[in-house]
Amino acid sequence: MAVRPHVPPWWAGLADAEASVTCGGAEHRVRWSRGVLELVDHDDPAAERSLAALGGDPPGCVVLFDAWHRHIASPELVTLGRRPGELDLGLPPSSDGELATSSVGFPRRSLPSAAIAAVERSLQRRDDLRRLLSMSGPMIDRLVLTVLASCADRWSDEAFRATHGLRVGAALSVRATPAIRRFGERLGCGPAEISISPARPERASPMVAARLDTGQPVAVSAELPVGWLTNVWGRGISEPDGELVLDVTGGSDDGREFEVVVAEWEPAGPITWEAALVPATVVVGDDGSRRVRRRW
Amino acid sequence: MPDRLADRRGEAHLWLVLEEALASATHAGDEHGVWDARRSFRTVADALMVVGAVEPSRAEAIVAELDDALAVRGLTVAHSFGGRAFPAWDPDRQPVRRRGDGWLEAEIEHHLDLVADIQPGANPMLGMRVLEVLGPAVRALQAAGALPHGPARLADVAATFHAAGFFVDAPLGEADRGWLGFLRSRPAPLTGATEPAASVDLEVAVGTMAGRPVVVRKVAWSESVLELDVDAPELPDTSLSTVGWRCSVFDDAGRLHLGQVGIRRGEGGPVVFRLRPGLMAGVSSMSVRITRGSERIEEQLWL
Repeated sequence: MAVRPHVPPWWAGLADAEASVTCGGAEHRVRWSRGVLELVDHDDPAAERSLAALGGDPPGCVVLFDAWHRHIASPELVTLGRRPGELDLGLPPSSDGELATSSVGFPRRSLPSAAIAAVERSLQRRDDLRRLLSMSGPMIDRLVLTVLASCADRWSDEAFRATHGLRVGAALSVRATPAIRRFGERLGCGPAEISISPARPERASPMVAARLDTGQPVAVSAELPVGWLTNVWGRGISEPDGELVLDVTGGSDDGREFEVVVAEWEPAGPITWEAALVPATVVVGDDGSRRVRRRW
Repeated sequence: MPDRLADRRGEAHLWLVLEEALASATHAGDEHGVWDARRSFRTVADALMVVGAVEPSRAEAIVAELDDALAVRGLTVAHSFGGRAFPAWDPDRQPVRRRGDGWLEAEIEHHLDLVADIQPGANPMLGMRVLEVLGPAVRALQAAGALPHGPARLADVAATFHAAGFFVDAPLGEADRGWLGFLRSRPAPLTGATEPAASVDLEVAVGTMAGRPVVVRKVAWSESVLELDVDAPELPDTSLSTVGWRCSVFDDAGRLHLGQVGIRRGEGGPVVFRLRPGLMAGVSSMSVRITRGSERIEEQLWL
């Protein structure tokens, strides 16, 4: 029986990131490391949360920690997150007064309890997102990658695809288009027209094909796994050494080496091409450089 | 993608337009660019909602998400961030699908009304601006399968604006004053259908389409209707997105006659255009333009 190579977790190879949080009048730090958010300046967040439930305000770090975990599966964050080439993003920090959900005045007495609960949920959600999007850019990036990993995990769920599939498809398309376009231009037929869609859950391998009709630009279509967003784009290995990486099939958990498949054009007919999937290894250097070694 | 996404081309397109709008606003980086991107995106979303190509609560949520994405990039004020939840897909809450011709016709009329008060010399970019407003929405309706002939219709509008001098490359000061007069005084289309009172048997072959000749057999008109009897290639008449052929008529001053119902599918036959009062008075010739996909035939007919 063939042994399936070890596929490293989506966060392997991503550097730790930190953000500062105003907490009880002091500046504290939260850290993202190996896919997990840690509160650097709190030994027992659960105990502090319990104390806060008895009265008083929960510490700012704990509030951020809870917001993070309420939204690590919210696909809306994918739409808010960074696109290729964008430098920085994020909301300015909000004061507690701006975010104090419970102090927002709305006519509680005239509303049924279900409506009050709905309004409070909505305000809570807005406050959560404002807090999270006020973190440093690298922390926002890791939050969005966490959400993307959750989207990839849920891609086989038809109800998830029905609600968020088109959003995820657009997110994949906008992030993969620059690399696929450059790959299409390697055909030497001028600028390419690109169409990218997420692969069906049952599809085993990514697919890239091209067609050149008379009088038309070359049309390149690709089906990529949703996991491409975290495993390839999120790690910054979509085009190492000028190769197009379509998938990660194995590698080490320290993120220094990834077994990948890269694409290479092969003619499939007089006016059509298909990308052959070539096994290769991406080696990440100490200086952050990425080198590709083909295994064929 | 699951099969149930197959008929959601409108929403799929709207998500892609969101990405374009975000890129365009980020690239522009100033208030004008951001405003343009938001306005254009809202026009596209509205058009898709009107024709039932996107469920309204989802379209509105997508519009709100563009606004939030702009706030996160510092392109709009931070306190405008709403962070609303996205509605779950509900197959029982889908709108009725409609064709987009009515919407486009109304939008063209609306813009002609707006343009009628402006001199071309004052803003020669106006024709381009109108196309910038309508173009993305037409492209969206076409992507949603609700407007197969949208681009051809827009090309007609562009031609008629060009004839009036509302384009940068049109010679300034040489605007067609008659055309402007027509715009400003044009009465509403006649509503009561009258039988054509005059007719000309033409039997003019105006070109070929799908390898077969297209013949205009007869032109008949009254003060309220114009009827062309066209013998065109037989085409399959199936879904909304089938590309049939369409016919437009320009008078001898190059003016597009609006209020036209110029789209046909399948084989040839009479194409009836509703006219505005007086439009045919003194008209001795007309241009007939027949298009099907990228094929185009244009012929001057003498009455």
